[in-house]
Order: sequence, then C-alpha cells, then structure tokens
Amino acid sequence: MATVRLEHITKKFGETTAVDDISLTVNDGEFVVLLGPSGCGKTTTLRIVSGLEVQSEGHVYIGDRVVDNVEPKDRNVAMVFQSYALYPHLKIYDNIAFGLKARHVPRAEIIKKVNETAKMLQIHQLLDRKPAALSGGQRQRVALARALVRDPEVFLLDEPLSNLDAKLRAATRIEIKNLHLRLRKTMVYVTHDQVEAMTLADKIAVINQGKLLQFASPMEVFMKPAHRFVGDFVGYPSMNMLGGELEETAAGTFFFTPAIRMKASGAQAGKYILGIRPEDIVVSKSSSKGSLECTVRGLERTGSDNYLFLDYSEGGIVASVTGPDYSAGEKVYVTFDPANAHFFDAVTGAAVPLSASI
Amino acid sequence: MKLPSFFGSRRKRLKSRIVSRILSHFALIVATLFALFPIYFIFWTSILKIQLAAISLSSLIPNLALITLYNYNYVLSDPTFFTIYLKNSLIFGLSAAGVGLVLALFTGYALSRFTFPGRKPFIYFIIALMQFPGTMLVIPYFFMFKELNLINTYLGLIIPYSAGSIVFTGILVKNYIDSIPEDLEEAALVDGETKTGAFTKVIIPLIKPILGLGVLLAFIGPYTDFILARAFITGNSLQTLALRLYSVSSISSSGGAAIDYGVFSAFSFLMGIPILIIYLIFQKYIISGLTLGGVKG
Repeated sequence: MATVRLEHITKKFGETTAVDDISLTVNDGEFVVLLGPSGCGKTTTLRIVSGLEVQSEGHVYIGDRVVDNVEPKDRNVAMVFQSYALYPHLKIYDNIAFGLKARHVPRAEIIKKVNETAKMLQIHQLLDRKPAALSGGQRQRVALARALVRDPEVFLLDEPLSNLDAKLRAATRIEIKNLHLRLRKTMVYVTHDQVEAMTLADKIAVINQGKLLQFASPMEVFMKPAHRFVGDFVGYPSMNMLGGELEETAAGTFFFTPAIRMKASGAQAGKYILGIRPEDIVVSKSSSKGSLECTVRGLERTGSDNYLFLDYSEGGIVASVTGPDYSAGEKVYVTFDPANAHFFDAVTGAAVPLSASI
Repeated sequence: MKLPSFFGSRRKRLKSRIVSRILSHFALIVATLFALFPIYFIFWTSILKIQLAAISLSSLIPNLALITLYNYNYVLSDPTFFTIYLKNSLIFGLSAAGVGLVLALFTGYALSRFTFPGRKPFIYFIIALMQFPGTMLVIPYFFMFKELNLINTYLGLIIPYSAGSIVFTGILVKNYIDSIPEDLEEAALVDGETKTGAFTKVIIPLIKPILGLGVLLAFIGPYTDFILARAFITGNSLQTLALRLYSVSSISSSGGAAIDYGVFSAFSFLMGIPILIIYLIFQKYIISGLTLGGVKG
C-alpha cells in the first residue's frame, strides 16, 4: 500500500502539451478517478504513474520513493488496460500468472494465488481457455485478476469498463467498488464517464486540456464546481450557462443577463457566467415575479427523469422535470433559487464566490 | 416491410449466393488445376519410360505400363547427390534462413516500434530495393567478394543470401508487428518484464506465423538459386542441387547438347522434398496464427 504523489507533472509530445503542471496526492488506500473528455491528458497522467511514459518535467512519488527513473517493472504497480491487453497466445491461467512468473515467485505459490484470485473473480472455470474464447466481460475479469494477483502497491485502471455493454458496465462498476472496499488498495482510475467517477471515487480529479481543474470528493465536485468546465462536464444534462455582467448601481450590486436580474455580491464588477443545474430549475405554467418566459422546444423522456428543452429570448435552457405533460410551442415560466446558482469568471472559467439573491 | 416480399428477397438472395458460389468454385478449381499441372507433368515425366520428346497429349494420361523408377534410381545411386549437392544446398538454405530471419526480426521490430529520424524514407528505400532483380547484383557482388577472397567459400554465398532475405522478411515482420497492439508489450512491462522479456515472451510467440513464412521464403531463395551460385562456385565441393540439376540432365551428343527430361524431372522432384518438409514443420505456426483471436471485447 502506498501513496502516489505527482509534483508539477508536465508532459510534452513535440509541440503539444498533453499534461500541464498537474500536482496531486492520492492517499494510501484511496480511490481516485481522473475524469475528463478524451484527449485531455488523463490517460497520459496514468501512464506517467505506471512508468510507461516519462514526464517532461516534475516528479512522481510512490510511497516515499521518487520513481522518475524507475522502470515500470520495478514500480510495483499493476495496470488494467482499456483493451484488456490479454496475451492472446497464453491460456487464462498463464495470463494471470505472467506477472508472478516474471517476478520469479515459486511455482506452488503461483498456483495457489492464481486459483484464489480466479475464484474471487469467478473465472476459475476459464483458466484453460485462451482469451479469444472469452466474452468481453470475462476478459475484463481476467484483466482485473492479472492485476489483483500481483498484490501491487498501486492499481492503475485505464477506462476498464468502456468496452462493456451498459448493463455489464453497471454490474462491474459495483464489483470494482466492492473490491476496493475489501482490499483498501490505492487505486487510480481513468474514465470519461462521470457516472463511473461519481459512483467509484473517493476523490475525483477533473482534467481538461492537460490541466487539473478540480481535485475533490464527488459531492464537492458536483455541488461546488471549481471551474466552468467542471460544472459543464459533471452532471447530466449539463449545467445551464448564462453569460452576464455584474454591475454596481445606486440600488446595489446586480448580476444582469438581458433576461435575468438578481442581487449579487462577493466579486468585482465584470463579466461572469451564471451556471444553474437543470434539476435546480423550477418550471411553472403560470408566470410569477421574476420568472423567465420560455417556449418549450421539446421533451426528452428517459423514464424516471424527463428533460425539458426550452427557448427563451437569449438562447436555450434545459430543465429537469417530473411531469411529462408539456408540448412543443407551449409557454412556460422558469424560476430558480439564486442560492443554487454557480458563478464563473467569463475569461478564466474559475469559480467565483458570488452569492446571489432575488 | 411486408413479410412475403421479405421472404421473396431472401430467396432471391439465396439464389444469387448459390450462383456466386458456383462461379467462385469453378474459378478456384481452374486455378488449382493450373497450379497443379506442372507438378503433375514433372512427376509423370519423372516416372515415364519414354522421353518427353516422344510424348503426345494422350501420354499424359496415367498408364501403369509406362512407369519406371529408372530416373530416380539414376539420380539417387550417385552418392554425391547427398554428400555434396544436397548437403551444400541445405547449408546455404538453412544458414541464410537462420541468419536472415534473426536479422529480419530485429529490423522489423525496429521499423515497427522505434521512431528515429529517417524511418519513413528508410522503409520506402527498402521497399524500392525489393523491386530490383537480384541478377543485377551478381557482377558487383562478384568483384566485391573477389577482393575479399570470398569467392568459392560458404561465407561468400551465405552473406548475399542472408542479406537478400532480410529485406523482404524484414518488411513482412514489420507489417505483422504493426498489427500487434502495443498494449500487450506495455502490459508485460508493468507485469514485471524487461523490454527484452516482453519481446521474447509476447512479441515472438505472436509473430510465429510470419516467422514460419519468413523461414520458408528465406530458405527457398538460396536453396533454388542458380545464378549467384553459378557465378560464385568454381570448385566441385561447393556445388549445389540447382547447379547439379543443370549438369545432370544435360546429355552431350554428336548433334550438340540436349536435356534428359526424365532425369531432370526426377531430380527436380527430389529437390522439392526438403522444401515440403520445411513447409510441413512451420505449417502449424501458420495455422496457430489463424486461431489468435481479437483482444478487444
């Protein structure tokens, strides 16, 4: 067991900067998810921890050890690849035993460990087969078993569920969570799926364009996004973003968009973006004080939640509603509690501590 | 879509599938006959009592009364077939295949996995090299190797033979390694292997099929080579099967040189056996290559 510490990690491929000055610490036994869109540098970050990629700048620590110049084989980490990367020419048993054999573990111990791990993941009946004869879900388990059997200090998982179908993905997600609760190993998990991140992580590191935007617990990431991108990326449907200006008037400080006006304080006058989650929007069929008139463009039904797509004078808004009785073209009136509003700097995207009231 | 028309279109599709299957089978059978006929012709000539010159179309039909093993007896009763010609051909073929394959393995791996300045132009250069006929090299090789005192030595032929096989086999290996996901090697590295370990335990087993093909091709070239051997071998002790094939079947007569097609055919047939054996040995790798399934789920 070990902590993983990244200190000012930067990785450049030629002219492009894949990872831009990322620093974070994964505590012993913690499950940290690196979350971000594809190409954001999260996989590169994981590969830097594994040693498959060497950072251009900065230092990587595993435990108390600087591992900058340590080969992957000597870092005592295990990795689950997105493609599973099972050795196609070897039987499942030998796939799982590969790392133990490479480390010259005695034969009797290998047999024991492989069998134990295979039983734990319920793949012991597959040990004689080759990877090609396995289903996607089974291969995924073998890839997990191959990592688990080595009992490494740190587990690195690179989008391990992305090749599974939705149902299996949900089931395996729970299994991975349970494995972590049972083993209490340090795990770093890369995904672009915010549901995986929210359900699995002790802490989420949201990365975009190589930069670490927020590193916090899932609830904090959701409730207090530190950056406009985080608010936009985490949560479905995405947070509504309304551009406006903070102005000081004789009557006090107000946040204006052409359609909305609210009292606000806590920041200098300037351009800001108001973020409001679809579920914080209250839709009513009758107008009330300060409500925003919208036209229904469409309703997306998902069963439990329905998403209402609305047009207003400045653009579009998505609201989460319970009832299905809306029809296109209908006029509705939208309000929200200013306490639920998030504010971001229009230029940098960083969250600003504006507090608003009606 | 209405059901009847659905079934109708299925029947039509079935019919067109049968037609295309018949056509493709027919084409394949014709192609197979085309490929097999020379082999049959050589084999039949080798066991025929009469000389080829006397053959009419009807004598191509198998006929027990015309069969003789005389030609085989003639070829095999000369012990030098084994002690000189077969031995030398095997030495050239196997050593060129061995040396060429090892070098092609490294060449192919480097071209596939490493990035270095000039990699792309180098690959095109190699591919361009393959377009030139080997005959072109005989004379420059001859002068070069004469300076090095390598004419009429084993080494003097093994070097150009191996060099010849690196080019083609190297590209084959490169293309094959290109198709193997790098994840597999990386998984081995994280699992505790060195780069060399990942190469020998993951890459080599996975490219066995292409290595099998490479061995076969790298063997056949030198084993059947006539031109280079003819230029480089001056003494008797280094003579190869290909050279002997020419001399053994030439008959000098008063009217000039003629060819004994019976002996020629028997000799050719015997000469093909080692190639067949090597093919059979490596065939299982080629088949095992087909059973390697996809890695993704």
